[in-house]
Amino acid sequence: MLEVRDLHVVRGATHVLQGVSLEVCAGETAALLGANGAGKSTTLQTLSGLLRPRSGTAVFQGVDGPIDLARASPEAIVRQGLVQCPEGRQIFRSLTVTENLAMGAYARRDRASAGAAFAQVHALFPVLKERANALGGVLSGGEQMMLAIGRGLLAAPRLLLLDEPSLGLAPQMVERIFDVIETLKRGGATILLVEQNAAIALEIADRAYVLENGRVAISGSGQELAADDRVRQAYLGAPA
Amino acid sequence: MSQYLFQQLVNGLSLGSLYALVAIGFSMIYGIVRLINFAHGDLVMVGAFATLGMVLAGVPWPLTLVFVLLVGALAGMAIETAVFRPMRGASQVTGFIATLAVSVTIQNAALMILSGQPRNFLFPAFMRQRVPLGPVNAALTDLVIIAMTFALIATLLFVVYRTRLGTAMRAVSDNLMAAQLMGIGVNRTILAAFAIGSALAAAAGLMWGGKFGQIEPLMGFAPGLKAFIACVIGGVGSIGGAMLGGYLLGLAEVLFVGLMPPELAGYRDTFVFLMLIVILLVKPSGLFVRHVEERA
Repeated sequence: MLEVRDLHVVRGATHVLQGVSLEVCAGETAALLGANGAGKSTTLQTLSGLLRPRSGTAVFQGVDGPIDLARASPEAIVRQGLVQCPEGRQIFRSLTVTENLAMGAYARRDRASAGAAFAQVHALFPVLKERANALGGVLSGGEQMMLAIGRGLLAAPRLLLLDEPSLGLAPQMVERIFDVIETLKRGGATILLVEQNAAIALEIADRAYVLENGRVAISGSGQELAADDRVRQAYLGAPA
Repeated sequence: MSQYLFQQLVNGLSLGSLYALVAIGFSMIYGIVRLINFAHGDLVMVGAFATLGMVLAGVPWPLTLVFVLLVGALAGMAIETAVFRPMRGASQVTGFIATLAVSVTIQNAALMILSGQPRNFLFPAFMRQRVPLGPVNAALTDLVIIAMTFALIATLLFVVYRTRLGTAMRAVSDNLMAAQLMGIGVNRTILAAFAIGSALAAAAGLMWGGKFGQIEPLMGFAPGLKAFIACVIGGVGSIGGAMLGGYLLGLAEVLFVGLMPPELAGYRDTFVFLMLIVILLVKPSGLFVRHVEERA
């Protein structure tokens, strides 16, 4: 569904991505791991069209067939079904919960089915229905994360990019969010997950990539990486 | 209430309406592109001369209002597309200077085309009559300005808070990156904000001409500056704040002149700027903003 080949991205004077290649197949959950500054978020921002790569391709099987994410506009990319929940949630703080969700549905083509999608999101996160008229900015961190995911789901994603969904959340809430991701996965969703919390990400990932200094250093299935000594030492806290 | 005080109140409300209309557009544009648009006041002039042109061409008044709104919207969209869009992402100072350049360009183009000679506005004579309201009376012009402003603001609030486009505008203003990630057409949304804000300024130009009777190419400077002050009073970037700030400024100005000894009347603008300085010292985020929102 997504095939990234030799992506190079330069931000200012920094060559952030130095040839990233990865793929995500339909129905799969892929995880992108790595330390701070390894280039995880840059990768996702490039896939969403917010950054233009210097070279390389990123072909996504969109609603209307394949598109090259390296050239398409952010708007077109969302319309083709690649939807991102960005790092730090980035909800609209001055809009109500319902308005936030409506903005998620902004790019939907079949607005008729938006009602059913709303109901689905409300079923997944009942709190979003209870707090429908609260402003996004007054929600707790966990509620904001649910809102960010709900908003993303309303855009009818074929591929959902999740950037650090565990960031800044209490352990209980992290568990709750990953339960939801697990539910989405079982429902057949295709997900590309960026996480610093490698342990929890590898638990649900079918496929995983470790980024180091802008390159994919290690890749394999979730279980392979969880068993890999380098990964265990560097990211899972196993003794050297 | 004495006729004198009532008249001052009506006068203040109608002046405040003009300030509010200009300030709202100013604030919308700031809210969505973080640009202090000093060319905004010049759209008041554009609206006033567009009105005069249509009156001279014999267009009936209701149609004139529609045309003026349209002219304002088109002018705002043209400025956005030609100047501000290429500047997007540049530093705030660059954008600020660009708006000054646009303002100077518009003013001088108007001076060349229309000459600096002030012109009579040709408002229909019946608008000058006074309407009795119980024991007191008020100028019809002022009442019409207040009513038209009320209708325009009500329409604006409906668009901004109840429609898909308005919600998208608020979303872009709130978090540009998130709006892009939701597939909101950012350029189109910003263009719409410019169109709406500029249309309101042009409508204010029509009313400005009606209230003061004379128009000239540099007339946009004062409303632009006053709108800026109204925004600072109310809190820059908030529509409600700009509206309240505009009315507060209009009322304060008129009451200052009306209630103070006549020899102080010439210090009207001094008083306004003094008010600005005090507000900036005491509550720089604006009177009607509860807290300064963090900007990520």
